Amino acid sequence: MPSAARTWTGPIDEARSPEVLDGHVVTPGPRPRLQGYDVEEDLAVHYGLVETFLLAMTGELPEPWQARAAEVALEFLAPAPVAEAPAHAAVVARICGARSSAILGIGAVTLAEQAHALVEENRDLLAWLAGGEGPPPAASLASTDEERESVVRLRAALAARDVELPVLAGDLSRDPALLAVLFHAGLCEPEHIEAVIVAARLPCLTAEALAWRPRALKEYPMNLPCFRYEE
Amino acid sequence: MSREDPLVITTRVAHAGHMDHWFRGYMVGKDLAGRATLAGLMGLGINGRRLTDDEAGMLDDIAVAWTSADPRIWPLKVSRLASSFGGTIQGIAAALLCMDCHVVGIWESSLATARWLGELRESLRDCAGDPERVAQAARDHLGNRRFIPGFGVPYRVEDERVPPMWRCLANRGRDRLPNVHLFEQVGDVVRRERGIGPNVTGLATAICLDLGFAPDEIGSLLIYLATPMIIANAHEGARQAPAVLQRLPDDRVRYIGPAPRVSPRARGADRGEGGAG
Repeated sequence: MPSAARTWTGPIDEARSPEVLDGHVVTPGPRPRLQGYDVEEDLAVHYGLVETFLLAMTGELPEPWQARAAEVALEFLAPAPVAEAPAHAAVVARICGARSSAILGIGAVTLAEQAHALVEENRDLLAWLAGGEGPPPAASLASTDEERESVVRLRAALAARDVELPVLAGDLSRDPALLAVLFHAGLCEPEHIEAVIVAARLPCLTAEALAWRPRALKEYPMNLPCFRYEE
Repeated sequence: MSREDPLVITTRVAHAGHMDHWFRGYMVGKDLAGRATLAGLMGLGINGRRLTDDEAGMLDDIAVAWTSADPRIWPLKVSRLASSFGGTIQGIAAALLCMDCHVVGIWESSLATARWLGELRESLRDCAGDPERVAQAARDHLGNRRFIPGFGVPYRVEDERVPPMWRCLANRGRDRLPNVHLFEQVGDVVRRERGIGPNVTGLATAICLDLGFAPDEIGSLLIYLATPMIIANAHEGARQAPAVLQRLPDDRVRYIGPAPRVSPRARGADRGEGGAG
C-alpha cells in the first residue's frame, strides 16, 4: 500500500524543466498588453477587432488599408451555411442537446479542418504570392462565371473602402482571391489565415446552431445524405 | 436512388435494424453480444475482420503494457487543461486531438513506423530471413534521417514499457511473427548506429501489422488503446477542476514578447490629432 510519506520519482522528476511558462503575445496580470500595446487604454480606444486580430498574428499593427482589406475578406468568409460540414455538425450537436461548449468545440474543430483544407488546396498560390514569378497557379484561376462575379463584387467592396489590389486584376477564383487579400493584409502564414477564417465563421455557425431547439430530433433530416449499408 | 446518386454514401460499418443492429457484417445481439470483447469489437470496427480471442487479448496486452498516464505527459496535460472547468468529455476530446501531432502523438508515429517497416519488407523481398541483408537495408534507410519512427523516448534512454510488451508477445507465441521480428532486427541496427532503443508505439505498430491491420488503420487502433490513460485524466481533472490549471498564478508566467509601446493613433490622440484610423 502506498504511504503518504512515500516520494514518487521518475524520469520527469529528474529531468531539468523550466519553472515558469513563457508568454509571447499577451502579458499576464490584470492589465493585459497585446504585443506590447495596452489593450484597455490604447487598442480598445483606437483600433477595431480586425486590427487587433492582425496585430496578434503578425506582431505589428496593420496599415489602415490592410485592416480594411482584411475586414472585407473576412466579411466574405464569414458565412458558415448549414450546408457545410462545420455548421451542419454544430446543428446536429445542438439538436442532441449538447452543452454550448460542446457545440462551439465541435463547430470550431470542423471549421479549423475546413480552413486547413482550403489553405492546403492553395499552397501553390501562397507560395506564388510570397514571391513566385509568372502567372498565378492554374488551379487558382476562376473556372465559372459565378466565381468571376464574386471576385468582381470583392473588388467593388474593397474599392468602396479605398483598397485596390493589383493581384485581383488576374482571373483568380473566389477562394484564392480571398486568400490573396488576407495575404496582402499581412497574414502570410497558413496557420494565421486558418485562424482568422475560423474566427470569422464561428459567430455565424453558432447562430445557425442556436436557431435550432434542443431535442428537435424529428425535424432533422436523418437521410441527408443517405448512408447505404453494404456487407 | 441509383448507386451513383451523390446523396448516397455507402457504408460497411453499420445499419440500425428493428430488433437488432448490423455491425460490420454481424448482427450485434445475435452474433456479437456475449461473444466479442471490447478490443475485438474495435478491431472489427476498424478493418472489418473479427479477431480471434488471442488476437483481441494481444490488443488488451498492448493497452495494459503501454499505460503511462502521468498527467504531466503532454497530451494528458492537454486533457487536464481542457477538463479544468469541469467537462470530462471536453478533456477526452482535447487529448484525442493532441494525438494528431508529429512529435508526441501516436497517429503520425505509428503511420511512419508502419510505412517504414513496409518499405523495408518490400526492399528485402525474399531476403527477410538474412540478418545481414536486413541490417544493410536498415542502415541504408537510416541514412541521414534525424527522426527514426518507432525509436527513442523523451526524458530517458530506454522505453521501460517495451520489455513488458515483449514478454506479453512471447507469452502468446507472437514474438517471431514477421513484422515484430523485423522490428527487433531493425532495433538492433538503430541501437548500434544511433544509440537509441525502440519505443512502445513502434513495437505496438509492428504487432498491429502482424495482426493484419493496414498502416492507416493502426493509429485509430492505438488511440483506442490509449483511451484508459486519457479518460482517467479527464475524469479526475473534471472532478478536481483545479483553479491553478484554469489560470496559472501570474508569477508563474514570464512574458517575453515585445516591450510596452504606444500605438501611433494613441500618440496622435495625445498630440490632439484625433484617433480614428
